[in-house]
Amino acid sequence: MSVVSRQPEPDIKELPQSPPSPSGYWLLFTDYCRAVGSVLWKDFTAELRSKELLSAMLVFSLLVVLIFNFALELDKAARENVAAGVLWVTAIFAGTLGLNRSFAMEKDRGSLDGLLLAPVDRSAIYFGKLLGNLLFMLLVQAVILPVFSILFNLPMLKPLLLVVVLLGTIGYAGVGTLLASMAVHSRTRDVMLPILLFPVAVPVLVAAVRASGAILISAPWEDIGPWLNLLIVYDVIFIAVAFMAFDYVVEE
Amino acid sequence: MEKHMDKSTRTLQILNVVTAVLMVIATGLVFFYAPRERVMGEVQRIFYFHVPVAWDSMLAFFVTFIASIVYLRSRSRWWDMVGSTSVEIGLVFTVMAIVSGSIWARPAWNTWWTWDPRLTTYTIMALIYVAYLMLRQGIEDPDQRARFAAVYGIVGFISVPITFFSIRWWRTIHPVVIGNGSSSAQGGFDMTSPMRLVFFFSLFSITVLYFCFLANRLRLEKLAERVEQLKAKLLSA
Amino acid sequence: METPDTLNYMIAGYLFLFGLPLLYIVSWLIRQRNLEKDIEVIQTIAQNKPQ
Repeated sequence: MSVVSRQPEPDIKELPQSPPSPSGYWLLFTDYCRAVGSVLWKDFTAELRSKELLSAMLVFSLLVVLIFNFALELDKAARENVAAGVLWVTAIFAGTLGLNRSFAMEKDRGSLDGLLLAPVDRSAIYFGKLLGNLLFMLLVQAVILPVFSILFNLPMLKPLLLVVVLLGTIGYAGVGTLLASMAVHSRTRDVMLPILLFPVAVPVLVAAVRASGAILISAPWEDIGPWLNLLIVYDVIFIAVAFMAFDYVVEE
Repeated sequence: MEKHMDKSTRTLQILNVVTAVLMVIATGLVFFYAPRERVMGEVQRIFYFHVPVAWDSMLAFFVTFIASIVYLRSRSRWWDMVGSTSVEIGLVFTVMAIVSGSIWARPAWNTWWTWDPRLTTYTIMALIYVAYLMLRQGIEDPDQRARFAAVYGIVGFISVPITFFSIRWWRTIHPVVIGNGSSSAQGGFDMTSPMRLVFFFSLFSITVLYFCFLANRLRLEKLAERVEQLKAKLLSA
Repeated sequence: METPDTLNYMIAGYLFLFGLPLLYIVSWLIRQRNLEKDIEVIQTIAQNKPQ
């Protein structure tokens, strides 16, 4: 039997590839969006069925507000001062519940593997998870804000405040989603996320509380604007970093 | 192989000796050459070690930042070791800086602690790197541990300047008045040129000390790695 | 104005500034000794194993 030695066939991936045409880019983009959407849809429908997470986050938030009510002696002036702070502490604590859960299921059931096999950039998973976390946190805020309004006797449904809530939540969830994807693999899973997240999220907390506080007392724009800028800068920087780093976290 | 080991051991030994000599000289300069400061007295001498140690702790975390990036690119275990070792040393320096600063602050400005932006940010930074070590502790798979630590080493480092600006901006709007007025709380004393000499020599010596610590600790880490490999080989044989 | 006597604070500060790194170095030496002992044990076991 003669052994014929041959050059191995060139691997498809090694062939020089021309960059995609404009329509090629569009296809890549829609594929990407579809991947993001499917991650988001999966988490959203799972939650819709059980409603465990949202109700847990809601009840937890209300309990935190209640605890603050007993822990801090609040006369009218004090209430105005601390309202923004209490709002954001509540958001941060409740947020960790959602962030932790967002990857817990994937780790326990290995349901991430299917997504990892798809020929889409891994960051699509990150954005899908981020949007899911964002959605849940904002839904909770939507319920908490009116409650806050009543309990603190302060008008909370100002549009600018909603912008701050949105920007702050985006920043917090942006970093939190990345860190949660790592924390879930730790032995001390549930407590690892706050340990990693809180020190890094300080700028969000500072900016969001200052801006919210200023808006609630109807302070002039110079007191609010720069904090919004800081939030935007933070959001952009950390979502970019998370976007690049996520690949390294989920690789096998 | 034997020759190579001897050479690197020799280099390390030389580095250790040089570092020790530098530190002795620096200490001598601090205690005997530096002038006595008028307002605070002897305690001001802490400054000559306190500031370099604080700066070098940040250098250590910067080294981790770079090592993390290089690790993610190269996947070389060496860079993971550099990153984690540098964090360890950085935290030792951080504790030295905070405690020495507190001891200095008490007689000088009549307070053990202040929430000024620098110190607040510095403390948050320490917590970030404690979290870094805790993250490493909690992950069993070495490859995953290295990857995660690298990601956090990058994220954490980037957050520090942003944290500093946010807190500083917050504090300039609502300045915190604790104890004495703001100018002395800034560490206000004028440096004469002997002071400058001592300070820069001390800064140089302590930076060399950092690298010396890093080299020694890395060598220890390589030894530990070798033991782990031997154990694994033994168990699988 | 008379310069206050803050010598004690300086001594305390430098005790800590030298003490902590020295403790750190000692921890290395202890760990090194343990590791070298481990290597000896492993090598002895490895030699005794092929029987």
